[in-house]
Amino acid sequence: MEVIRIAWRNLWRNKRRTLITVASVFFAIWFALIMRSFQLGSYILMVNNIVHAYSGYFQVHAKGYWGDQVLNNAFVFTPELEQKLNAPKGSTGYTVRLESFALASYGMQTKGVMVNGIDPEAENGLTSLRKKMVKGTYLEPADEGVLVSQRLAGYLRLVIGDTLVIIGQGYHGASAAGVFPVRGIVRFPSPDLDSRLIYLSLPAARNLFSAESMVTSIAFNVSDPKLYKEAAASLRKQLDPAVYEVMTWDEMMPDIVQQIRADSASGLIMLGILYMIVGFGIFGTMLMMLNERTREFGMMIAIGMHKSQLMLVLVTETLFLGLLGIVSGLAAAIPPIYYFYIHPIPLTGKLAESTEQMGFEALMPTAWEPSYFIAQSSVVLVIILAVMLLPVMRIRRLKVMNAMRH
Amino acid sequence: MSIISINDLVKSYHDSAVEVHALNGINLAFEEGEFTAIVGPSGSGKTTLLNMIGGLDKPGSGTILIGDEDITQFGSRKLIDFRLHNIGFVFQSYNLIPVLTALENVEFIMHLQKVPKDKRLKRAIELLEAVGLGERVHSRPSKLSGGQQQRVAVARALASRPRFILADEPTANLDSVSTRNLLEIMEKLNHEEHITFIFSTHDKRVVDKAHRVIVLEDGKVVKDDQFQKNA
Repeated sequence: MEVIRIAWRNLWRNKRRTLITVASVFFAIWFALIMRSFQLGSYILMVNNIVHAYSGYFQVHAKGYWGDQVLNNAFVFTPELEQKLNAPKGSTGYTVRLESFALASYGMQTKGVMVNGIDPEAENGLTSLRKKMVKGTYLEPADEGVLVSQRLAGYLRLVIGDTLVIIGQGYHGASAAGVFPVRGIVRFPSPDLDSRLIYLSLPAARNLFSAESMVTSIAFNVSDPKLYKEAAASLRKQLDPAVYEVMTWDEMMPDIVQQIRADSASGLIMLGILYMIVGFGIFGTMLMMLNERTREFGMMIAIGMHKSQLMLVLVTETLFLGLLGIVSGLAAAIPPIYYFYIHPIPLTGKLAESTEQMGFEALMPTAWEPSYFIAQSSVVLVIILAVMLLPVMRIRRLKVMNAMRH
Repeated sequence: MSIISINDLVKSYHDSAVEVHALNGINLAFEEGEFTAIVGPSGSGKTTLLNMIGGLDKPGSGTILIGDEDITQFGSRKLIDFRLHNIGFVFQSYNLIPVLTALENVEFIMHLQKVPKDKRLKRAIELLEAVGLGERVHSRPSKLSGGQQQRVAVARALASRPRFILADEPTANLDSVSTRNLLEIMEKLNHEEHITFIFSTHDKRVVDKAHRVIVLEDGKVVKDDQFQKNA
């Protein structure tokens, strides 16, 4: 108790200096948490957008399909395979797709499009496709109609009830041609997807492409986004690697991962600089404090205080200094982080436009990751522990007579 | 048996290339209950001798027996413990812990000795009353005059129930009234409780009160006079 009392009172011998030091830790923690939580939040949103827009957390294809995405690389969706697909731990469901490219035509307009044969309910479970409807009705399981993306519908000048012509190549060179009534219009934030997507029911697509029982991909959703790799690995073990490939979203889109890593690295460098400044700030305070009190330390040892007891007082002081900054920084950062996690900042103007053009929602959310608060606080605590070495070393080397003459 | 016995004590310093003999073969003995002043010009070795007796510095050669223990042979940890339990210090510039009150400063040394809280509190109050600071127990050093701070230092030095108190120029920073008060307190403690005081001083008022005056010059004892104690 005596150690704590002396340490606490020593802290307030020079109030202004203590407050400035505590403030530097406070702002470091506050800025680090706010800045990093927005950065992590944007990555989570980006991944979430990608995964729930189309890819799912992981997919099963015929081996080699991802490198050569053509209909001839489709595979038969057998009952044995279907049985194994329910096995992956953490997976909450999957959707099967038959995807190919074709020409879509209405009136005088024609455009190359991506045709997706889907199980409407399962697809909705993964990508919330129903929510993207802006007009018309959603597909029935064996629907003979189509859903058309909004920009594509605009280009083709389609309205609900019009008949769309699709012409292409079916499985193994069969001709693929059909007419499909437009059931609904769907809107995607990404202009690229929004100008080329057409959805059919899986039976209608199989019929169009002469690909009975076939699929090109099976996309999975998971209950906890942190566990998708484990779920994919568990499925990979179940399937013959000579026939199937199981790929996670980051394996399918390494460029996105690179982009996140590069951006994250720049954020970490900023944090490193911030922490270095704070570290030197605390170091400076300790240095001044030690120089001012050298005589006092000598006296304390002279009257019978062991160096280890004196070190404990100084280490406690440093800890108080750091903890005051950390706790107040956390207390000030957590409420806004939580608020913006629940209510992301909507982007406006050009920034919103460019974000949407890249296929992402124009929002700036924070990440709500309590483990990150602990990690940041631990980093500052480690810096403080490093700074603590200064008083410990000084006291270890202190000679009473020299200190008393200081 | 003497409380302190110093034999052939030598301490040299190297000042640039020149070797300075701060203490040059000192032989002294101090008895319990002495009220001794060590005097001499600046550089005569007074403070060095006091530091040696207090175990704050190590001699080049010679022995310092306190009771029957030669403290020159002690390691630093043992010396700290020895000082804590056997020696009281009063420094020229008071050297109180600024963040503790007068009471806490006196208690502090007993805390280091692991004296139970209630006992140390009682003794600290008694000691502060004995030095005339019963009303200022909760004042911090910055709120006390120099004389009052030095009286707290005396109370602190007594708190550990030491075998003797070493006081290095205790009145050097005090005015005449404070000096008189402090000397009266120390004289009373010596007379009534047989506390042994050893001072280094330049102050004639301290010398006048001493029962023994040791004069040092160039690190040697040149005079050692004993006077009759006042009844």
